[in-house]
Amino acid sequence: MIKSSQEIIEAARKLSTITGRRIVVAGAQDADVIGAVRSAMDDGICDGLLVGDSYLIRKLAADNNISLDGLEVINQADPDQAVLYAVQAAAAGDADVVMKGFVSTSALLKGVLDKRFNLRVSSTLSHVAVLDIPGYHKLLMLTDGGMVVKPNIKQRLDILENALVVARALGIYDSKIALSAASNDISENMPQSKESARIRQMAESKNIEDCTIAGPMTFDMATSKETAERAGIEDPVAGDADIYVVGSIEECNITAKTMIVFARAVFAGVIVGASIPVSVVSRTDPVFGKKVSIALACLVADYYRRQGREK
Amino acid sequence: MTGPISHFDQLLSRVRNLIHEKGKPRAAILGCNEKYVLEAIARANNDGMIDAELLGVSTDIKDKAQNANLNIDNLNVIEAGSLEQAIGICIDKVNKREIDFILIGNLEKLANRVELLNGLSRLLPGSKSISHVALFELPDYPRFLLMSDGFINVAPDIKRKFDIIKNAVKISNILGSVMPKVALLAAVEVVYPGMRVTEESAAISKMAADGQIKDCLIDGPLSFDVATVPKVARQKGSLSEISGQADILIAPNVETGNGIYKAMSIFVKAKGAGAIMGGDIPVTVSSYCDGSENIFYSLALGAYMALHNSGY
Repeated sequence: MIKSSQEIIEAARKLSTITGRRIVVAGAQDADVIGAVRSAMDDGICDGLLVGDSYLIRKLAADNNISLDGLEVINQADPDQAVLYAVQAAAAGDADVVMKGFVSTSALLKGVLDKRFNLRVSSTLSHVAVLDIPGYHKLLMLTDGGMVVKPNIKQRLDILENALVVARALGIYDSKIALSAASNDISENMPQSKESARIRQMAESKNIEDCTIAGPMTFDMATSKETAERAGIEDPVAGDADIYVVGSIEECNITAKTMIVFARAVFAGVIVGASIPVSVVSRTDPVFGKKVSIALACLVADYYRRQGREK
Repeated sequence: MTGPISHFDQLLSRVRNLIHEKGKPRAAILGCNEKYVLEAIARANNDGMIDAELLGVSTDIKDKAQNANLNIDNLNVIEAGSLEQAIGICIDKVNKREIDFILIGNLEKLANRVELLNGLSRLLPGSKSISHVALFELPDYPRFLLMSDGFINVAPDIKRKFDIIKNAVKISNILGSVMPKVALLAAVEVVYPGMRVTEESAAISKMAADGQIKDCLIDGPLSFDVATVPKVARQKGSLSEISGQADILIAPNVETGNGIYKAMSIFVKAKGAGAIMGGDIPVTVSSYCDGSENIFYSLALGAYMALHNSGY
């Protein structure tokens, strides 16, 4: 079981020697993204296929002193064509991870969901944030802070199952999942507390494997044994959550950023729900965080590959 | 006139000066049958910061104090068998001007949500617009950071957000900040049609720009890091006066506010205090995740609001 961001990188590096995986960037004319792929490649995490405006890719690399040695560059200057090429490469098995470069997220996801490529595995694509928070005894996944703005009950259940894919990719087969609310009781005037209770019921009747589910549960109860004890909450998930499934994009994004900005948490993220993980890094992510995100996507790709073999 | 209060040590020294001038404030305390709350009360009492009256089941309070090795013999305990009764006593004392502020310890444990909200509406009559405001002192931030609302208003609409902003600005003003910078938090910095939080934030910003909300500067939608980190604000090209230096963060909904509050408490280990604003009397509160130090700061905040010169 992987417990820190450093361990994510190490695990990805170790597995890479076996699987020789490759990441394809759609719209690679983005210095930050080229730098992140270069650095991941130098670390032995993956190889890279840079699809985009090759003139700009070479110019940006030269301007920023990034070597393109060993990275393949494909000229597809039109963003839609770059997306199409990247997704096609992934569908054909020439790449294991699709990464967003200088193309819009929606164009990239439209490509990933294109029926011709048959990459969709869940009815919902969702973003999973994996946080390495100083003071927490393991990684904490928060979802969904990037894709579904205000998920309904069915979508939140999908989001929960998508997060379990990431958990399994991290070697966690007994995930403790808390469904968020601002109250630990089901409260009439707090719809999200009722929804969380309902989703828990649905998940339990669905017999989802590899997890224990609790909720509604506030963030402190999910992550602090001391607070849970003080509140008299006895639940195996309390103080020990691996996954916190929230109720809106704002709740996820803002709670995560509180810890990134003020608790020095390391953030990595990946979009799941397709048979190819999609990596989206932000310009403002630190260099190390970008590398962890790529390594995380690679671990998810490896997990899918293992699953495929078993089937 | 001195500058705004920007950390708790400064708040404590201002409270001491005010007590020297005006005497100790009288505090009624609800939900005090717990170790951490009692520790905070004992410390404030020993420091000469408050005259406290503890409302609750006296045997229970005394047991809890004994278990925590706290001597509360010199504290006034007033028998109140239920929250209902405690609030009744409190209202009576407010009417007779026998207390200056209220601390509610253990916000969540005291009662279920509906009972608590009913209790608050009796305690703070005429207050259609109460909201919770949190106050944080952070090692990496040069001023107090206020945040609202993580407890009371579940899914506030624009009108309700006006009240939430007004209540937070009031605390900011009391602490000496003249034109606080208010960030309306969202997951992104631009307006996406259909993404309700961004639409509402933009509408409120426009109304503020037109002078419909006074005594503060407002911008939104802003993401958390753009609002609080100057470097991220620059990287994202966010040029407003609020970016990177917010005084007040307005959460889009109760779950987000609660998440910020809990993350601040559990992982940032921020010094903090909380208040319920909008009533005629200062009410400060603490949550389960607050240790005795932060409950003590809530008492200090209540004392300051009760005593400070321009009146509550």
